[in-house]
Amino acid sequence: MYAAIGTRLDIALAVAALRRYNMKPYRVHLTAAKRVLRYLKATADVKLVFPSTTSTEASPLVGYTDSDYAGGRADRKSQGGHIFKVYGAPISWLSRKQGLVAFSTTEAEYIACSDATREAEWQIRLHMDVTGETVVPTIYCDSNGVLKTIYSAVSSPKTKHINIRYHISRDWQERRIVNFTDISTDDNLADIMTKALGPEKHQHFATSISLRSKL
Amino acid sequence: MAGHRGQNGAQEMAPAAHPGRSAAHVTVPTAHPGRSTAHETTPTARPRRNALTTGSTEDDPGSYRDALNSSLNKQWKEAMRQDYASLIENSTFTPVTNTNGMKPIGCRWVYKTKRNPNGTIRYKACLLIKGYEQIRAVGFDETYAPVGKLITLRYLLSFAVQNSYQIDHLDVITAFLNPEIYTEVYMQLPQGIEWLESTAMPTSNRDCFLRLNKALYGLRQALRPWHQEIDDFLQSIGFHHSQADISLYIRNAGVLILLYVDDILVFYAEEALENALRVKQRLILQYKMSNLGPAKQFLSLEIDRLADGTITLSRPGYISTILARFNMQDANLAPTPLHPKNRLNINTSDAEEEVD
Repeated sequence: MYAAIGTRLDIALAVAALRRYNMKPYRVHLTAAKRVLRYLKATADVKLVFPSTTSTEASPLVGYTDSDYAGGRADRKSQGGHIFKVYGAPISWLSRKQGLVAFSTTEAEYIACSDATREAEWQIRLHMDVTGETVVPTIYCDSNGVLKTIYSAVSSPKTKHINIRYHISRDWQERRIVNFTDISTDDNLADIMTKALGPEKHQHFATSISLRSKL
Repeated sequence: MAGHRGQNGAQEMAPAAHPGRSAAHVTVPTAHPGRSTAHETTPTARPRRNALTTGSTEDDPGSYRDALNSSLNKQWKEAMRQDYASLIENSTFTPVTNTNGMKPIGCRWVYKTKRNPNGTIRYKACLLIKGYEQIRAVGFDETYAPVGKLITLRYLLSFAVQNSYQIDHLDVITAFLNPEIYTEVYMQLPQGIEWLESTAMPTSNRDCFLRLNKALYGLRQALRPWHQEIDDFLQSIGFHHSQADISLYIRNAGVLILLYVDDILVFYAEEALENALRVKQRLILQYKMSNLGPAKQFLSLEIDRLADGTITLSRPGYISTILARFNMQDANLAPTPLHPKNRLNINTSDAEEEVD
């Protein structure tokens, strides 16, 4: 769905979830696909807004990361995602099913953080090329367990088994390339990339990620 | 929902030029064969319009034979004549005598009805080379041509708002035909050569092929020579690649260029206005280009700039088109894209029957 890639990050999760069944859809998937279209119909005039107001964030580049731990699902794989904003407007986002089974919520979040860190790397370079300035992105995460792991250089028994490549977040935090920061779950915009939300919360986040039908 | 591929006008017009492009990829800018004929190209009215938003009919002939047998055969013949004339004008190919060892590639006509926003209809024909017949190593040096990332576009839009940059749009009219191609590629004579070609030449594939001088739509390496050329030119006037995205060109003093195949966006700070004008001038002198003024449409995304500097990005008309395709214009509205209780991950074996 091209619409999701260009401007409509509010359907990124739905598109990611359905894409897997493109080849062999069951009736439930068709129903879900139609619901996406019915949602798009209701929100056809929504645009992605790059606001002229100055954002209050300390860093021009701000990321949000989240995951939905899926211990109960058939394949036990979690959905991870992130959103990055530059000067208050979202420029990149991801919603994807994680490639491996996480043992805990913390681990799923930790994997999502490493995805976000790698995305940040590219944007740091882009920002450097365009402005000549080094930016330290703020990356918001709502998991205390993960933040504890990222801030401390020691492995706890709970995280010891995690593949080394997921430790990129911890390494980069230590080197001050990125700055992981706590955020309350209610304000974590990446929620919309990982969970099917109720109408009120969905609407709230859609507005917060700069999707507006009226200006 | 299933499979977005091939719904885009450009991809239908040039299917072989972008093999294996996945739906997740950025699509090629919407339909416009570089060699558009004069009557379609005015600087203000974009020649490029998405087949989705303009509504193409589904009864377009699928082959040369269909076109000649259709009730609109006069129009299609005229369209082919125009396309052929523009190929000749650009010296796209030279007839050569068949000698042993030549491996000519086939070509075919593609037809498309286009509806202008003002309601008039135009008939377009486009000669494509069957790039999929190309064999690796035979005239296949390098096909890779980088295309910009949408993330870069959105980054630059946000940057432009924050720093009050202006964004101007240039459009190369015959992008693919500008550079010469250096490998030997032979093509079979197009269908209809006997009435298209006024000068006497052998009309049988047994005696004669066409050697390509310029890239033709469908040729695997069509994008590459053009990219090489524009890249050299931009570097010669003081731009360098961004490390993060090589379709972004940077020059000190507040001028940035985002290149997407034959679309060029020039971002510039207010104080760099004169600089930017000079850059645009040099590009226009070098290539056949339309100066489209402030960017309004790019990659079929609509860019609106409000009085306070805010930019909005959208795809107007796209949603109504997909709703129409699935016959869902009258569907009930849904408040969210996924039902909060939705479990797509449930074991599908106990879901209802498989469809299609």
